[in-house]
Amino acid sequence: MSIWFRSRDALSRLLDPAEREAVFGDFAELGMTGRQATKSLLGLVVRRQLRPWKAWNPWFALFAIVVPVSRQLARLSNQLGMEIWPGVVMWLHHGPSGRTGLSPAANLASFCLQAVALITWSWTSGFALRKLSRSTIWVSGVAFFAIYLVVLAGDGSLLFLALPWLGPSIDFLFVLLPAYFGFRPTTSSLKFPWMVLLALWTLTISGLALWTWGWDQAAMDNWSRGAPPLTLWQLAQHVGAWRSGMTHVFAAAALTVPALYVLAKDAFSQRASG
Amino acid sequence: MLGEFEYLILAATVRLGDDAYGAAIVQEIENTTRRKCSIGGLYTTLDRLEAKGMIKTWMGNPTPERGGRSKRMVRVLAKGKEAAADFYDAVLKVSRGTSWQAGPTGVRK
Repeated sequence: MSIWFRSRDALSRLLDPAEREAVFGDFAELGMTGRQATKSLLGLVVRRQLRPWKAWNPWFALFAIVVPVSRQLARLSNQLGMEIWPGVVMWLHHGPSGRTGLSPAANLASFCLQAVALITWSWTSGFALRKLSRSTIWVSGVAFFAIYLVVLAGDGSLLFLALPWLGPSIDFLFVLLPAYFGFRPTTSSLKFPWMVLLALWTLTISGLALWTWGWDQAAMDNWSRGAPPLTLWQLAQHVGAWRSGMTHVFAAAALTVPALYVLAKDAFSQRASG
Repeated sequence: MLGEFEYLILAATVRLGDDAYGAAIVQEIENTTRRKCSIGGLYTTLDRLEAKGMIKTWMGNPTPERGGRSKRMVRVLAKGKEAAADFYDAVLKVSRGTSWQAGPTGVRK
């Protein structure tokens, strides 16, 4: 098969199956060569791909979800990896509560909440992107993964010493794979009651996970000072804690936008149909 | 107001009647205007005309000369006929008195 026919077939995958059928039939009837067909198809595909960008949805998806969420997810998954790596080493030498003073159950709960939150945020983001703009999902998807990987590489912590598989495993299992499943077409059949449950779940898990992300640092501070109670006054004097708190608020806002969007969209469509 | 290519498609579709579909419209336009007409341009314009409510398209039956593939059939609706008639009238009016129009006024011999 010539390169032109290969190109034609590759390009045609970007069309709907029914349209592809009609266009290929027209090519056969007009007796077009592979080159002519490819040129003609390229024009059609480019026009088809550009058309959805005249609406607001793909731009909103790109700038309100893809850019902030992928950056936050990269930062938080990296943070989780960095927390686990020394934690495992400390656990091996000093027992489960050696690093932070938290009990083994609290450590495990903290890790699970953060891992589940990453999965939830990633899946919800992919799901919201598909809901927002199905026709541009491949652009949003590529941008999502590209920004995620660029931010991760920029942090310089893709690989952790002695545990080189740890970072990529966290990225793959807790972010990339769930986001991919969110992007898939089968997810768009999810309807109203499930949307409410999903949004509530996302908000709850977000709150719990972001709380434990702050909990770890606070527990370490208390432990290193002989475990004094962390009063509100002490917190007010602790600039780092405020900065950390603001970071968490921003992260929570960015990461719950997809869930809130999905919830609002379905609530409006319910009201319109009712 | 229609564009020139939109008008050509509407006119070719009406001329073809029940046999109006992608490849047939391309051939009709190329034979009558002696200009190239791309499938890509045609399908994009068909989408636009359909969105404006001027035509209706649907998938027709497959035929052997198309390798057993279906056709995208086209029919002009009342709104499309009205828009095409307006375009034609506008072209006639704006051409009146011009040197290239055949008729009693302004004919350049």
